[in-house]
Amino acid sequence: MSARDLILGRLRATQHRLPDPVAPYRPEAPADLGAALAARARAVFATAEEITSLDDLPAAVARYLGPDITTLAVAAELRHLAWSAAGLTPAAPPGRAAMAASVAPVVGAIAETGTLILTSRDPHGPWPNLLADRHIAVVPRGLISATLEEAVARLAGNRLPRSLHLATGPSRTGDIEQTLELGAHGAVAVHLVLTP
Amino acid sequence: MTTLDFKGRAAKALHDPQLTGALARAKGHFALGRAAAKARTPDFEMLRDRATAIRRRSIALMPDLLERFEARATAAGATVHWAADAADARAIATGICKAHGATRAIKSKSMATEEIELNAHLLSHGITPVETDLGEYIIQLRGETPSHIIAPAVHLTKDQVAETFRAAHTDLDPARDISERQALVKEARVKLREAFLAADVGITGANILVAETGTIVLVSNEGNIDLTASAPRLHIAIAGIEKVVESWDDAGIVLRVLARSATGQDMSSYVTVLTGPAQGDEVGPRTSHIILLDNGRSTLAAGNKAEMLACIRCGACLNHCPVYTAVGGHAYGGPYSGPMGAVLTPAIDGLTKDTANLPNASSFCGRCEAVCPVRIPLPMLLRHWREDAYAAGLPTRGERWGLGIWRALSTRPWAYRLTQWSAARGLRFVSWWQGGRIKRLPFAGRGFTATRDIAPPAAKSFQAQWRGRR
Repeated sequence: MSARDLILGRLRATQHRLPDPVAPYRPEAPADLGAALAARARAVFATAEEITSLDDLPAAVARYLGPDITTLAVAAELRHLAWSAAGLTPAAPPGRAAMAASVAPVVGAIAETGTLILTSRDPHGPWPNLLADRHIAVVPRGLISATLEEAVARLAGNRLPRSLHLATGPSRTGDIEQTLELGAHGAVAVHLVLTP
Repeated sequence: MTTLDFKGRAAKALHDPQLTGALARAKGHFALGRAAAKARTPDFEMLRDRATAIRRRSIALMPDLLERFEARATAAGATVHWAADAADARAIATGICKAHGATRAIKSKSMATEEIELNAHLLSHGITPVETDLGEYIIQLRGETPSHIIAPAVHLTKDQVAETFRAAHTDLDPARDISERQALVKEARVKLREAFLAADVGITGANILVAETGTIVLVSNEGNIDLTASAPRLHIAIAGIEKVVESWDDAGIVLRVLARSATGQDMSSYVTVLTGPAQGDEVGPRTSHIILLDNGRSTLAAGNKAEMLACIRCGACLNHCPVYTAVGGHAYGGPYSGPMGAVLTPAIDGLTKDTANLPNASSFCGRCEAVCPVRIPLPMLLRHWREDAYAAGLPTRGERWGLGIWRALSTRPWAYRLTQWSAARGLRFVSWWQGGRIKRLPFAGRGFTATRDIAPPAAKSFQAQWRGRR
């Protein structure tokens, strides 16, 4: 008998009481999803700001990075912006390699928890959040979902991507003496830029 | 595995000041974190009720949900394997690695792989595993096992970690300053980044299997799971069969109670959602295997402890247990510790003289059940194991004699009252003789008075007072 038949056979041998299906959790959505997202993200050590036009992104990024970082990985869809005018040198995302800072749009965000969503379907994959020390996430307001369930349904389409990476605040660890330290493996700092 | 049994290991732990200090610190940290999360979440109890029902439904529907999960995951391009026991699971995992010529493995923290002792097996087949959760990495370097299901290195201080890193990272400057936690975290980040990018295979566990879409959901705070699952060309996930839930609505509720109960967060920093391998020009491994592990779980499902399969491995029962927080995880002798470990370990390893001790490591105070996000009646399940151990003749002659006497007295009220009356008289006499407090007792009472005095019994027993008040 195969292990599969053995396991399923054993499980089917016992009848358990079946509780009724559980109602899905649908908390009341905040009126302003963008404001809620930013507030929740700030509560988990991220920073956030809003710009009124995507054209303002290079200046906002330069302000955020300060004078020490002038070269950063810029996602293909943002490369056309006026980076040099803001004193920055845009580089192509290096793929699976470390970078000081990376700016890329996310495919979604969750207001309830301040979460950013990256996916394997993006040409830069999850790397801006995992291999860059500073992850600057461009969040178009229209892509913010109220809850995790809503976000997954929206991104699933015909088939879920190989991976969704739901990142809430910077990488952290409490593994040494249960004391919080940021930047264990992923981004040390996460900055959200909300765009129209 | 040490040669000591639970009692021996626990006694040793209680005399280790470094360990008891670390445990005291962790206890406050985790319990406060959960309490704060509960306080700021008005729907917390409602979410617990729903999570409880979801996990009970998952147990009842498990064979159907597993088949649905298998079908959807297969349709997404993953290969699903079934492992009846630990040896099966190990053989499947090494077989996959060998078929793909993988010799360098990175791993995210997985209690299932601890349970099947995968790392030693991989090494014996020429595959080098590197643990990437910081706590797991530290204990791997030290050759230890995890002492807490979500905080594997909870028993260590930063100085011990620094010592471990100095011994392991011999290529780095011996004069470097790693006295602070931040420096230790940074050193591990750099070292493990190399391992991530060089690895052939990533091995993870699974927190939730979503039947609806054939998806594996994992949680971490460090981001190491995302890197483990996405950087190498091959991914293997090892999941206990009980991890399956029906839908994304169910998974969402489980995630909400898991993060709050485990670390006091509203959402774990990283939730990794994996469906099949990378296709077309997607980033990630081109090959994805999922090993569904039974190893005693289907037997557990058939008995009076089936509710244990509802466990979502948050660790809240450990963090609130007066026994766990005094002796730590290593005393339990297996990867699972605390109340959940005391129920799970006899099911996985079988009921033996040693594992039969674990269900006795409880005062039945009930805090574990009170904080369990899925309301598992842990004290009742521990009691069932005690009954099973008694039926199997495992308690010692002395324990059986004691229980026999207790039973004889408690089923005969006149004998109980007589014994109680004469014992109280005797103790009041001893107390008078020793100057108003009971300072020394013979026989079984000796241990009790070795470290404390006892006040004399009241003149009237509780039963007598109760009769008087009715």
